[in-house]
Amino acid sequence: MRRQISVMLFIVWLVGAIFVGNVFSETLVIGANVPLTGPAAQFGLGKMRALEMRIEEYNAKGGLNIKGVNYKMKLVAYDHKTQPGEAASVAKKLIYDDKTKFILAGAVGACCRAAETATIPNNVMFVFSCAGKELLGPDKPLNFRDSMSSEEQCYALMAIVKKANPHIKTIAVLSSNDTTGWDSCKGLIRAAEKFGIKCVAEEYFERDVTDFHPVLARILAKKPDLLDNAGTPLATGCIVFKQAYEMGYRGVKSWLGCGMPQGLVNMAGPEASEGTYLGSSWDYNDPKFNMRELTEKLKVYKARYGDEWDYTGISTYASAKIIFDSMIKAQSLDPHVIAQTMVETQPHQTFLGPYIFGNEGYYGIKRAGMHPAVMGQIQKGKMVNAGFAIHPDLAKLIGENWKFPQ
Amino acid sequence: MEDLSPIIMTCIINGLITAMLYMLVAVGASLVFGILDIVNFAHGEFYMFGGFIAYVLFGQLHLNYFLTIGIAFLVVGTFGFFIEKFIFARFRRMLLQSFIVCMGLIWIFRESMRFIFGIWDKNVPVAFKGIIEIGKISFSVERLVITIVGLVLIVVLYLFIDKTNQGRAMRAIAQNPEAAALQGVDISYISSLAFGIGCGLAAIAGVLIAPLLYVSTGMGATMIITVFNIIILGGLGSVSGCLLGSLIMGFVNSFGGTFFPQAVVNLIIYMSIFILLVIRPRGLLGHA
Repeated sequence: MRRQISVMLFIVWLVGAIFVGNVFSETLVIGANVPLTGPAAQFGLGKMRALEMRIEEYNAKGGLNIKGVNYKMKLVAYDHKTQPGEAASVAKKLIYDDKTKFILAGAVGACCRAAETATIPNNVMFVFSCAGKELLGPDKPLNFRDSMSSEEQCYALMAIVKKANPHIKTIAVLSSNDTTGWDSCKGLIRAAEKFGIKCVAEEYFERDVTDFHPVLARILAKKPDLLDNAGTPLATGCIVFKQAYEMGYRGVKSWLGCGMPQGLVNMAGPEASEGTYLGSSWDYNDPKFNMRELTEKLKVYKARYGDEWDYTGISTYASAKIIFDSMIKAQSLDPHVIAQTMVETQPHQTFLGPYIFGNEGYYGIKRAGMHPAVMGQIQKGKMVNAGFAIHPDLAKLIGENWKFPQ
Repeated sequence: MEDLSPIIMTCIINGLITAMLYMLVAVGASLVFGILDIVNFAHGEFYMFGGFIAYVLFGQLHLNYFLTIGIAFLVVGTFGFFIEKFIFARFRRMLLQSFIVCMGLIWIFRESMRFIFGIWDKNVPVAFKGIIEIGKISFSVERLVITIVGLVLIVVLYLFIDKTNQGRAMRAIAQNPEAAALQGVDISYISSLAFGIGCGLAAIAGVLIAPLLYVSTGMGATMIITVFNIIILGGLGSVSGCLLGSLIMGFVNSFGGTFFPQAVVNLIIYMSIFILLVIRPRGLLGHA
């Protein structure tokens, strides 16, 4: 009798454990293919840490429960050293050795283009922050961009700059000679034209160039009213503004892709950086543009890593939540099903505000991440918010009159 | 028609400044080859050390800038002296072996600095503030100082090599090491001294460039390619060839970069070096 009771209790426990999903758990590998060293490391580290934190949060709650199975997530991150060849090798390693179907952090245009040669044929969801029209499209439905690229931001930036400086009639753009650079510059030029600003110089440089006097001499001879660093990495862009200042440029400056304003002030110097409008910067503590969860999370990041968290890392943190929640909603680990769910259930509420994947009119598919775009400006050595704008696709879902909660 | 004179003047000034920086780094490498017969591919790392010394002493501890230059020369020069004495000495006049040693040293130096200072690029504040405006041309006081310091160092180096016993000993070794030894020259000491001086000069260049750009563990890698272009152009082992090569590279980069895309400038540089190597393999002023 006692034995029968024991066996029955064991069966009840076993059945309960199976249905609750506590006994059987699997590991879901989440990949990151990012620069962790070199001039682009600012982008890679922030994204990798974003995934690290997000995965820890979900794992602490038991992981992802998909069709009764608990999946603990494991982050596997490799450094592609800003080398496209290395990025392709890393992608293959993540797919074939680590067996992942989700590479949720990618950065640097050429490296993402190299990595997608492995992700696309293997139906791997690939989420990255680099700009580039050719990186998104109906022929690559599992490619997502988690941060707003130039195409989504430049309209807002030009609107704010022109409003504050109505005299501006000409713009000069320069950027690194890669996908991010080309698309940033082209997007700026298109947006500038909408406000009657004509492009007088469009220059590209290789990433390892540090002396910009020759190219600046060419640009400044055209007397632009506005000089924009487009998608240039932080350290290099700071040198551009520093050297432009040395060469006598005192016109309006903007930097579409600068996500670390204090870095700009520190490296370019207070005089050279003063007045610069920033496309990817947001004073998160400003009560007029405040999302409380974001402010709290920034403190957590700073305490843990001792660094400023740049925008591309913040957007990875936001998009990772959307992806993991979509896995749960769809009860699936099929990247195609998850991709569909992500689009069908938007807008998503994130710590960046309402967030969607859109801009189908430009890319042919809704895969570009968008949220209310706050633009900053350096004033007296500090970054302040200059205003915000909403992309038309986002406005269709949340309304034109959306405001930050006060 | 657009007035090109301000652009041309800017190119000339910029070319001269760039040439000075190149020369400080290149002359050390040229000196090492001339005396030790080894091509020091790790030379760029000593330039990187100079940059980090500027970051620590001038940027963080706010030491006097010229004192920082002096300390960088002494510290890195002494380090270079002992590197030659205990490592390269075994591989004098062995090109392949010394090349392999250089590769190892590059990785050790770079990774060590990355471990100590982290991966982020470091900013060094401007040492000499102010902009000089002459008509339509403007340039920073910092750049003017670099040019003056570079010129002074060239003169000092020339006087050292020409007038001092150690300098004469270096020239003797460069001409004929066996004969120099027979004349009582301490080959080992002079070789190490030459290596140390070369490294010290590269470190000074690193200190000078730090406030203009930023300091990173990869800065030596970018510079060394330019340095070897200069040495090949000017002639391996020739200090005067080094000066000429630096001026040529400085002005080609300055003028070329202003009027043509960088890719075209690189093509011009490498095609020119290729043609020169075919016509005159020893370089413009190299020894036969």
